[in-house]
Amino acid sequence: MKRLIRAIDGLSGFIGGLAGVLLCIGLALTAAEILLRSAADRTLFITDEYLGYLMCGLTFCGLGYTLREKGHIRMTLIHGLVKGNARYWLDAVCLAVGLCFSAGVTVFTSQFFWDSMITGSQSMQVSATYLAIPQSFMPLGALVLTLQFASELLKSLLLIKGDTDGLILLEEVKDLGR
Amino acid sequence: MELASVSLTLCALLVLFMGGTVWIGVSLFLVGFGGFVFFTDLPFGSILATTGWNNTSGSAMMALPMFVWMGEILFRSRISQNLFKGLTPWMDRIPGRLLHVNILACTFFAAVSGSSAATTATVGKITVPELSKRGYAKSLAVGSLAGAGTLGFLIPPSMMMLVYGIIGDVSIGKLFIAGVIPGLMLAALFSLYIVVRCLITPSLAPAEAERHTWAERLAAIPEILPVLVLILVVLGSLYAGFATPTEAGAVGVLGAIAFAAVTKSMNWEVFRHSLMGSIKTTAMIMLIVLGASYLSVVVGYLGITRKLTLLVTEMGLSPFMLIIILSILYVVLGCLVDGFSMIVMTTPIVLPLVTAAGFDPVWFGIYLVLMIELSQITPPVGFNLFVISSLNNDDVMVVARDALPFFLVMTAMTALITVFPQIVLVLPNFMK
Repeated sequence: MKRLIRAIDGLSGFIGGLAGVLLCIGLALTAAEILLRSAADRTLFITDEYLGYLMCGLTFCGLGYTLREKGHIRMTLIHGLVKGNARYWLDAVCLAVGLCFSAGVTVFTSQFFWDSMITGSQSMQVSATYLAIPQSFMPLGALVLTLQFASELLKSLLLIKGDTDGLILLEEVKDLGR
Repeated sequence: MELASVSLTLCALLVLFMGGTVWIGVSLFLVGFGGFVFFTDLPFGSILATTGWNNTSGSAMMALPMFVWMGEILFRSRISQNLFKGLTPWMDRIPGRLLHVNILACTFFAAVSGSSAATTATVGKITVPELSKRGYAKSLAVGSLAGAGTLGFLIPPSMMMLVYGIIGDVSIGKLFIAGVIPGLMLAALFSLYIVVRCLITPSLAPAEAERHTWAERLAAIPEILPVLVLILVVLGSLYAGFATPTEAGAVGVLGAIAFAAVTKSMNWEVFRHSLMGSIKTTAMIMLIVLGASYLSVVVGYLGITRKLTLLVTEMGLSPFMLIIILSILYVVLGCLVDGFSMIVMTTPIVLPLVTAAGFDPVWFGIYLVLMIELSQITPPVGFNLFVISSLNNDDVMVVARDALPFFLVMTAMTALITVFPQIVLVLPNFMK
C-alpha cells in the first residue's frame, strides 16, 4: 500500500512539475509577444489563444500536486476542535467525498475531451488548433487529482492504524495565498 | 419551487460541506451539483466540463499565476532587508519614527505582491524583531503591521481583485488602478493614526539614538530603487494601456527575477520553490473559482439572483443603507470564512444588487477588498493574525486587540469611499 502511495505522490509531483513548465512557457510566450510588439510592431498572433490553453493545462495539472502539498484550503473550525483518531476519521470522510467528486470530474471531462476528439473541433483563431489537444489536460489533471485523493485517503487509514513509517505527511498550509 | 426553499437547501448544503471541513472549491462544486440534481433537469456533467474549460482557457486568467509568481520570488529575496535599510533613515524626524517603516514597507511590498499574508510575513520578519529590540510599544508595532499588511490586497496587483474580476466579469486592469488611491490613502491614515498616538504618548516610540543626515538618506535610496522601478513598470504599463494584466504580470516576474539576481538571492532552489509555490496557490484559487462558477450557473438558472434583486429593490432601501447592511454581513462572514470564499460565494448574488442600486462594479470591487481586509484581522480566521502570531509567539486574540484601532481606521476608509466614490473611480475613468 505504501508503495502505491509513494507512486501516486510521485506522479502528482511529476504532473505538478509539468504545470510549472507550462507556466514557464506562458512567461516566455508573453515576453516574446511584448518584445516583438515593442521592437518590430509585430505580433505572434497565437499568444492570447495559447496562453488560455496553457492556463487550462497548468490549472488542471496543478490540482493533484496542490492536494499532495495540502495547498487546497478548507474551513478548519471543526477540524481544530477534534483530536487524534476522530480527526483522522473526519479527514477520511472528507477525502472519500473528494474522491467521489474528482472521479465524477474525471468522467465528465473525459467525455468532453472525447467529444472534441471525435468531432475534430478546431479553434476559431488563426492557428485552427485541434481543441482536443489542450482539452486533454482536463481529464489528465482530474485523473491525477482522483488518484491523489485516493492516496491521501490511504494515508488517513494508515494514520488511524498508526502505521506511517516511511510516509511523508504534511500539515495544512497556512502561509501564502491568503 | 419557492425562492426561500431553494435558497435554504443550497445554504444548508454549503454549511454541511464547508462546515464539515470539505475543501472550499469541492464544496462549491457539490452545492452546485445538488442544485442541478434537486431543482433542474439540466445535463450537470457537461455543464461542469464546459464551465471548467470556459473559466480556465482565457488568456486574462494567466495574470493570476504571473502575479503570484512575482510575489513568491520577492518573498524569497532580500526585499524586506532592503526596504528596512532604505526606509529607516527617512523616518527619524516623524512622530512614531520606525513604526512608519511597517506602513511604508507594507505599502511598497503590497505594490509588488498580491497577497496580504505574504506582505505581513515579509515585512514582519524584519520589523517585529527590530522594533522590539529598539523598545517600541509592542501593541502599536504589532497593530500597525496587522493593519498595513492587509494593504497587500488593496494596493495592486491583488489576487483578490483578480478573483473578483474573473467572477464578476469586471476589468482587472481598471480594478488594479482603482486600488491605488484608496490604498495610498489608507496607508496615510494608518501613519496619521501613529503620529497622533505618538504625539499624545511619546513613550510609545523611543527617541532614536542615531540621527540620520540627508547624505545618509540619499545614500539609502538605492536600497529601495529597484522596488520602485518594478512598481512603476508594472503599474505604469497597465495605467498607460501599454500592457494587459497578463503582460504586466510577466514583466513583473522578469523584473522580480532580475531583482533577486541583483541582490544575490536567486538560485535554482529559489526559482523552483517560487514556481511551484505559484502553481500551488493558482491551483487552490482556480479550484474555488471553478466551483463558484459552476454554482453560479445553477443560481442563475434558478433565478435566485434576479428574484433577490427584485426583493431588495421592492424594499426601497437607500443605496447607503444597502451598503451598511452589506458591511455588517461581510464583517460577520469575514469572521467565519476566508477572503476568496467571501468573493466567490457573494459576488454572483450581491454584484447585481449593488449595480441595481447605482454602484459601479469597479467601486464595489474595491469596497469588497476592503471588507476582506477587515476579515484579515478579525478572529477567529483572520490570516494576518496567524501570521503575526507565528512571528512573535503572541496569542491570536492579543494580536487582534492590538489591531483593533487599525480595524477602525479601515472602517473609516470604507465610509470615505462610500460617501466619495470618486476616490476609487477617478483613476479608472482616466484610463485609456
